Order: sequence, then C-alpha cells, then structure tokens
Amino acid sequence: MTPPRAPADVGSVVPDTTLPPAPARWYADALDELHHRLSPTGPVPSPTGHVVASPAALPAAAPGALARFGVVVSRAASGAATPSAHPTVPDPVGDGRSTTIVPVPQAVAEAFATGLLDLHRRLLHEVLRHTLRHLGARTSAGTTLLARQLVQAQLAEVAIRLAEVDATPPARRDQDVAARWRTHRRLVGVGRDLLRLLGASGFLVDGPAGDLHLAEVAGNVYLHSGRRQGDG
Amino acid sequence: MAEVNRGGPLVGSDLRDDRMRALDRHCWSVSGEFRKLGELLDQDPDAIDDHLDLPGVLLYRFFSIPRRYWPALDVPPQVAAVCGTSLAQAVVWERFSYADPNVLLAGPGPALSSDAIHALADEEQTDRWFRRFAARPDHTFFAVTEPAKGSAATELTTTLRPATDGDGWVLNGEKTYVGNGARGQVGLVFCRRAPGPWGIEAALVEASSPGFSAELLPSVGLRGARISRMRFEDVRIPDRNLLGQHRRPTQRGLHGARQVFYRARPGIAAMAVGCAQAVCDHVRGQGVRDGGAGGDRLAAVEDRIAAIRRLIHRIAADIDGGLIDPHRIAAAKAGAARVAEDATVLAAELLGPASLLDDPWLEKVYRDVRAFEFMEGAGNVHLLSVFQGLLKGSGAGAVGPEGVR
Repeated sequence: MTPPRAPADVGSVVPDTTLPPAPARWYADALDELHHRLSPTGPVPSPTGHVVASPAALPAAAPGALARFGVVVSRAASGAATPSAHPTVPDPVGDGRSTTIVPVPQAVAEAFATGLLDLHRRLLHEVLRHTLRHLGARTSAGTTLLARQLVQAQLAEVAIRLAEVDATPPARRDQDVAARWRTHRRLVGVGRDLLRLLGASGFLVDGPAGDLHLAEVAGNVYLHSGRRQGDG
Repeated sequence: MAEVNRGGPLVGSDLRDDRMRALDRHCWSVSGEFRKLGELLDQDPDAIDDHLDLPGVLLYRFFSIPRRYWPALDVPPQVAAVCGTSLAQAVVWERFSYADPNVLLAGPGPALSSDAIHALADEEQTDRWFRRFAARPDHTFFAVTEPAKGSAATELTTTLRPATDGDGWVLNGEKTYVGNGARGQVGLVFCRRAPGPWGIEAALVEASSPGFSAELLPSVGLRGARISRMRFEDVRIPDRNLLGQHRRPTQRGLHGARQVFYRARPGIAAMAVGCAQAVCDHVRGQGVRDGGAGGDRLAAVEDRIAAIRRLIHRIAADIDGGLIDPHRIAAAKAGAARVAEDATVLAAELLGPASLLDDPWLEKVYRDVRAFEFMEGAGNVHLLSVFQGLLKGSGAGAVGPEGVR
C-alpha cells in the first residue's frame, strides 16, 4: 500500500476508484520513517522493550515470524521506554551488527504511539480505496460486486466508522494510553471488515492483509493498555 | 509453545453415539504432535513429507477413502466404521484443528474431491481415483475459483473444448486461491463446455500434463493449505478423465461442486471452532478466570463456540441422513469463522502487551483463523444464503425450546 506520506489528518480523503492498484508492503517503510522522525538516534522501544522495524533498521535482528511481512523484532535486554535503561541488543543469530535500543523521553514515546494510530488510519483509507477498486472490478451475475446493496452497505459502514475515528477529539482518540488502545481496537475492527470484503485476496501477504497485520501487531506491542488479564 | 491439552467433552455437542465419542477420543490420542508440526509447516508447508506416517496424518489421508480400499491400518474398528460421514468429519476436523489445522490441510489424500467423485464419477473413474490415493500419499486440488469471478461456480470461464484431432479434450483458463494447487499431483478442475449452468463439467487433471502450471500464493497464514494460482494452456484431458458423462446434464459438473460445498462447509466450520476452542483453552491456561472483565468476555466467546458446535453437529447429522439445508449450513460456517477471529483478537488483548510477539503459537493461530472466512465461500455469500433461508422459512438453524433442528 502506498498512501501519501504527509498529512496526518486524513478526514478529507475522498476515495478515488480510478487510481491504479497500489503496491503492497508499505507499512514497514512507514514504520521506519516514524521511528526515524521521532527518534533519529535509534528506534523507539515499546513499553515492554520490544522494537518492531524493518530489517534495514534492525540489521542485527534475526528473521522471525514477521519477516515475511517486512519487519523484524528486537528486544531491549532490560526494559521499557524509560529514561533509566540504555540497553544494547547484540543479536548472536543476526549478521553480527548490534542494534542500540535507547530509551526515549515519555513525550517521544507518546508521539510514536499517536503516530502509529495515524499510520493505521492512513493505511485504512488506502485499503478502503483499494477495496472499492477491487470490488468494482469483480463481476457476478452481470454486475460488479460494488453494485450490490449488501456490499455497498458494508462499505458505507466502514466509511462511517473510519470517519468517526478521524473526527474523535484528540483527548478521546490518542491523548492517553487508554484512549489510544480504544482507538486501536476500533481500527482493527474496521480493517477486518475491509479484509472480509476482499475475500481470499484479503489473505495475501503482498496485499492489504500484510500491512494490516503489521498494524495490528504494532498496536499489540506499542499501544496495549495494560497487563495480561491473568496477572494477579 | 502451547501444548495440546487433553481437552474435555465437546461442550454444546449432542453427540451421544458411542462410535463418535470413540472417534473423538482417538483423534485426541493421535493429534498430540500436530501443534509442533504445525509450527514447522508455517515455515515450510512441504515439511509434511517427513511426517506422513503419523497416525493422525494417516487417518486424515484415509478418512474419505471407502474402507474397501484401505490397507491394514492401526485404526480402532469402531472409528473406522464411521469414517467418511459428515458428522465424523466434523468431529475429526475440529479435534485435529484444535491441535493445528495446517497439518490437516497439508496432509495428502483425496480430501474434498472425494465427495465430487461420489457425486459424478462412473465406476471405473471411482475405482481408479480411490485406488490411487490408497496406494500412495498424493495430494489433490479442487479448482473452482477464478480470478475475476471468485467462487461463483455458475459463472466460471475456464473452457473445455473437444480436441481438434478427436482425441479427448483441451482445457484452457486460470484458477486461483486453490488449496494444494501448486502441490497436488492430480485434482478436479471445473470448466465450461457450453453456455449456461448445465454446460459446466468436472475434469480430472494431472499436474504433470503439458500446459499445466501453478504457483504458491503468499498467504498471511494457514500456509499448510498451500493456496495457489493455476493456469491451463491447452492441457489435454483424456476422455476417460471427464467425469459424469453417463449422467444427465443437471447431475454433472455443477451438481458435483455443490455436493462438495455442502459437505465441506460443516467441516470448515468445525475447523474454525476447533481453533477457537484451542485459543480459549490457551487463554484459560494462562490464568484468565471467570469473574473479571476479561474472563467474562472470554466466557461469552466460549458460549458462542458451544452454540455453533451444536449447530454444526446437527447439520452434519442431517447431511448423513440425506437432508441438506444450505441455509443452515451457511449460518454455521459464517458464525464459526467469525467466532474464531473474535477469539484470537480477544486472546491477544487478554494476554497482554506484546503477546503476539512473546507467544508464537498465538501469533500463528491469530493469522491462521482468518482463512476460514473465505474458505468454501466468503462470509457475504453465506449471509445471502441465510437471508434466502429466511424467505423460505427455514431460519438459520436456530435453537428453539426443543433444541436445535
């Protein structure tokens, strides 16, 4: 997916069904850009100390389950995104180069979290456009799937929910951990509904599904609101 | 890695048949290694080749082969007696998928195609088909879906023309999202010989045929299914491989595809329920208990699993009794796919920050279950079917005061 990089405010995006299909694997690059923009000296760790970024940004990280989606994971030796820890992560199974994971100020960590939500929203707007194109090109019983009322209603539902997220006041959308986690969950729901409309094509790594999976994982890592439910 | 636990009874099931309970226990006893194998298959689906002699893999291979073709197998007689039925399929596929659905889908055997063979093939074709799969662990494909048409079988465009030299037929076209399409040695390809729904034919196609090509598609999960794209360029089909020539047009190609869909959907639903149950049990095993907000949300998902399992078992038993209600089948399949997704999303939330990184099994099943949404028909196709059922007064297989019907 290749949404335009610039505007964080995506509320005015108008779906354009005439655009050609966008290439996939956008999220990893956008994630790297977010890391670099907010923390030029090194990637931003999550509260659990994990860093999710592309292999280019984390050359020491071993390929893991997410490698096929375009990212790898490193974990700080001891800690979270707090000023007290300065872990360095040498990865014995990587290429020998170490990745320094430096804690970031709280304001940077929060800006990164908000930035992840912005990425997710931009991605969803692009996936919505992609879905319009895809369903407009698929035919059944002499008409396009886009002409089906059932499909139209589901797309309208998605558009409404996405517009609501865009219009949510910042204080309720992304200004604290709880708000960010609520927003993330809403965005996950919107993305899943779009992928269902894409049928089996919504299950391919080199399409919207790959990028949306990364957005879900990144939220699970960076935006989760608290501890596991089984703890005490 | 999460281990397969011993599991309890199938909550919500109405299974009272001793043979089905024996089958259920047997599946538990032979699927213990599936979870580890499933992780290997997520990396390399062809790793199944090193595990073809596992009892569970063997049971799946022979499940849909009539017993008269079986060699000596280490399967309890009461279990062997029910193999091939829809209810048994629901039990086996749920239990195996509880362990790992990739093993089942990567395993060799005639699988879905057997129902089409039963519905379409003549005696010689049937005998040839099952002898082949009993003799060696071949994989097969069942190719209906096309790039621009999806799985709308009545609109498929892959063509079958008489060969100009009078010797058999020539196949041209493209199929996509076909399980084992790039792995199967032989399979069924649905194609069009004439306009209209009764111009559809089913042909046995050998992957070794000149003009046949296939490639693996990079799926988000359920990589054991080896979802593929296939192309046929002037593929020669011998006359003996065109199924159903002894049947009336209304009982030929499309009829076979429908038989497969109707019988496979409860199985796919059972797979989804098996995964959903495994996820819930996994979360319970991590200490989430009833009483808290998380536990209550998990219990709500478990309620839905129990209900859908009950629907699946009833519709499967009805199929075995000769009653096929496509609308109730659609309702169960759509509900199962959705609850599996919901279970995984909830698990990732309840198990805390970075659970999708720290818990590799959860991350894998989180990806895998999304496939059930579109396998054997996408969710919207099933919603429309449920609506058609409403118009006909059949409902969606709801539970009334007297229980499910």
